[in-house]
Amino acid sequence: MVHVQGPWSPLLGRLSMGAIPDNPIITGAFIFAAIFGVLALAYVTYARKWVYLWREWLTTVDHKKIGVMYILIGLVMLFRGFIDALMMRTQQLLGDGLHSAGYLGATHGYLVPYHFDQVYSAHGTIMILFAATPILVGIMNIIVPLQIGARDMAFPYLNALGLWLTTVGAALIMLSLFLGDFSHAGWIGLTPLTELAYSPGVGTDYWMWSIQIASVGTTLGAANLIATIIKMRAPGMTWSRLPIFTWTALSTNIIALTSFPVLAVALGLLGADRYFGTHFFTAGMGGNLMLYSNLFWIWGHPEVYFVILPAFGMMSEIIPTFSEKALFGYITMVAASFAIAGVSWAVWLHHFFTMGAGPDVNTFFSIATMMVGIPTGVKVFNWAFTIYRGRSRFDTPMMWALGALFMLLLGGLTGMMLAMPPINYSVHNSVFVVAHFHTMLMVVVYGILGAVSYWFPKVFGFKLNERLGKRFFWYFTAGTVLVFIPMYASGFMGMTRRLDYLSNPHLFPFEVAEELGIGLYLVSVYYFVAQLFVSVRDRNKYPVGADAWGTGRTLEWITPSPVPFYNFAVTPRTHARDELVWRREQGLEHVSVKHYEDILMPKNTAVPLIIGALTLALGFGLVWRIWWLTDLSFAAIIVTVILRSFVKDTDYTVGGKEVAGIEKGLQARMKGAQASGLPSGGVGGLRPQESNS
Amino acid sequence: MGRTAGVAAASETGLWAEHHHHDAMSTRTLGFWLYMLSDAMIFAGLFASYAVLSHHYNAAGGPTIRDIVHPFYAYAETLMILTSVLAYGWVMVALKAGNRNGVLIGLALAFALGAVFVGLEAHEFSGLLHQGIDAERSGYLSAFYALVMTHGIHMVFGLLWIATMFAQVASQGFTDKTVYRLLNLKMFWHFQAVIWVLVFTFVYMRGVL
Amino acid sequence: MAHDIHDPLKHPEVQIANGWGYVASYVLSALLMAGVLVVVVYPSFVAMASFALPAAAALAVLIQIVLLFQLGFSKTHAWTTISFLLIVPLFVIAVGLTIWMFNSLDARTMMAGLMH
Repeated sequence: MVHVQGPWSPLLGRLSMGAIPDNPIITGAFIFAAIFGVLALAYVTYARKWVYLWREWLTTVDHKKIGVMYILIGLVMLFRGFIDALMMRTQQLLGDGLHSAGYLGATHGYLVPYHFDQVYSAHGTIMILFAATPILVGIMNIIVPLQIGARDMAFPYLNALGLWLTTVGAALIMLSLFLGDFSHAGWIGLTPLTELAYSPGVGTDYWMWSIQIASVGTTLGAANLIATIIKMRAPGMTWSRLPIFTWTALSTNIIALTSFPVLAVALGLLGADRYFGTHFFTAGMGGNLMLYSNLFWIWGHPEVYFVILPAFGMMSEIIPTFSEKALFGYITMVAASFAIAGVSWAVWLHHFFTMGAGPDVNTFFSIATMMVGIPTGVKVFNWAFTIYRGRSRFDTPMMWALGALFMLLLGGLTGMMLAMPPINYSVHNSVFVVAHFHTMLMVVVYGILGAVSYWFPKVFGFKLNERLGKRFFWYFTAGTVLVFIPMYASGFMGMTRRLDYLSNPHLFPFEVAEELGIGLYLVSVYYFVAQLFVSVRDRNKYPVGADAWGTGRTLEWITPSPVPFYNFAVTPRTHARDELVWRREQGLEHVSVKHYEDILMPKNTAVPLIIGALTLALGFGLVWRIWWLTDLSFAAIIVTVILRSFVKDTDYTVGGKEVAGIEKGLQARMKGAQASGLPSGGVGGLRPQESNS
Repeated sequence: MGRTAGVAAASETGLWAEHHHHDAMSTRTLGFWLYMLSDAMIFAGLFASYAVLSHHYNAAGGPTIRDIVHPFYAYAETLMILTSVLAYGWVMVALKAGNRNGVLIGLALAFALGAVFVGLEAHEFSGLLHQGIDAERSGYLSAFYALVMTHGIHMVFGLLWIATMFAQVASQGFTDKTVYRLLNLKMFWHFQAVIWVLVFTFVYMRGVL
Repeated sequence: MAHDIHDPLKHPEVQIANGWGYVASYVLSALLMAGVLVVVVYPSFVAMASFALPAAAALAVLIQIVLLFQLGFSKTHAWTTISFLLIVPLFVIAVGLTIWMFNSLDARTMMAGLMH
């Protein structure tokens, strides 16, 4: 074991009173979090919901509930990441030049560089891995089994485990705010900055373990989704009838399955350096710094395609529904998804063109990177041709999908620019790069927000308020434009990234614009919260039927809204692509099941939660180097897994009569429910291109 | 699929698939296989790291693979793991015949041989450590130890799994669960041999040159 | 797919086990690895090493894939085979492009005397 700076005791490791920060900003955050936490706990106790919480949510293996919890975690972390962004914008605004004023002990602005570095490191780590990824995984979790006619994922227990592991990762990052600090080395963790010599504190360890633990969850989830899609499709659901979102879920999880292990290696070897004193990436003793960048980006590039492909899938579901037209070029869309997944595996060096691999190597990776533009372009044209001559409606989900399309154009074109080493060398480490990847990530965010508003009625049985939703969309878009378009310009003019002050005061107007943009984002957050509040308050006024939007096309829209725990009373048989459209055309939309049969469902179990709790102890012990805690929790995890494997009775049967009763109740609740303004089922006048038998 | 044919085919029973069962066992083995493929990518990362860090200047003036490899000892390790894999093959043959005792004997044999492999490797490493040739000496040795020990750790977990399966088959017999776990363990155990072939060839044997 | 869902032992993945295949895989792998040992240890064969080692390893892996894992395009193993075939290029890309990249880097940045 390596000798670390600072106090260490066998009982508490590196933990000591000095770990508690005495910073007013953090104290404020702690008070806020504590009040919120106490209120939440008090409410649950007052409403006597502990048993309900335990039985229905904490021990569930139901993919829909797990998905909802994933999304909730993602939204909480998204909020924290947004606060980080707000802090960064404000710091750079206040720190306008070398001689700007300093507050709270800082030379420029109000954050000392060491803290500013932690803010952007946390922002990046949280937004990509703990906001976007969990929300995407959550949506895929809820929707994919419904789209293929399955009752649950292939491995429900593993699914729950993945959720809790992700939660542990998020918990560690939140803990780092109040005990110790976070990494100051960016979300990438470049070496040798993250080596013990240059990051002697616990911050880098927090960053490393939170990602490592959450990544295990994501890898397991990837195997789960792939096996589900291959093996759990309902009869008649052939590959050529698979909904496009499920296709993108498949390609994206192939990326995840193959690339996350390499991240595990990158972080694992860094961990070896930090814990065992090895020399993988040290400056000296035979280490190779660039090896870290290499391993990290072998994961890192496929990762960004992992987040964007589901967003593409969401757009491909929303656009046809709100154009009342089948997706144009289904086969090329599927082929393009896999082409993107495949090529994305061979482009990673474009993240470090400037590290000196040479013109030959750079050229190869540059060309490969540009090639990704071809299948992406195919997708853009297919979406455009889907809308063309369709019957367009501009409900909120459609607005988000169209916004994503424009973000893709902007981000994609600047990506092509960055793919060229000569340009790359010029804008490397400037905020031009930051603007590019934020624009691309906006495609993901827009896709997510569109998908949430699109599928919300299916999961919860009522729609989100349209008026407030549109306001949320417009303020969010205005904020995006005002923050990132000036950033392209200031990046071109030399504004350095990750800098806690504005080195070139001439660029001050851009900073002002960006701060206004963040202000607009704040307004949009108000509308987001207002929308949720109003929608929940009015939920009994506007219930929806199975086909919430009236023009749904795929299998999930034949289930009741909200979906019962068993999904389908009887497994549906598929006859065409866009099965619901086919049934509508045959006049079979409202044919109900006559004969209900027994259903086998997996039992709830507390084991994933227990393993999660033990993993939190393990992660905490590793960060603070409390060896007795790590050894004990690790052993306990192994024992728990082995003991669980001896349990024989993990399923239970729901009788046919009970299913029939539940179905009757749901049908009665949905009776009279109208999709707002539209006929409750069936589209007047059939058009030949609607179905794809 | 014409519209009239569709209407005719789509009677109520055509809309729903009754008595539909999924093949749970092959779903499990596919899921585990997918995990194994992700494991293969961990080794890809480790092999890539070894390739980068196995130049003589990564040795920081210390020993390189040439100084630490004992080719015949390594071959003995290879034979041990291959034989352990063969013993597990016996488990599969016995399983096919429903022979519970055969399965238990095979598991015990695979365990014993695998344990000898791990023991041989531990002996090899302790010898190196006594000479001060440890992972902290240089990047070169760090990479060597990381690759070989990751394989070794997989073997240890595999041994733990074999022991667990022994207990489970002995107490529960051949249920759906125990059978698919034996199939998964087969894939895991054989996979360790495949990785060892690569480690033996590209680390140990190339190190002799 | 017709199978007896009540007896796990009748499942195709259990029934596909082939004892002679396992023995053959064992013998061939042991021989191939012995061959590798001979090539590197005995000076007269050393020249073959740069070709013989990768070839022997690839062959041994292939034999194990076919005889031990019994990958093929039977209905039982179609998906395992397809997913394996998709991983192989990724493995090669990760290791291969890394080696190329760092060779190129070393050629450009390392002093000539330190190279070998």
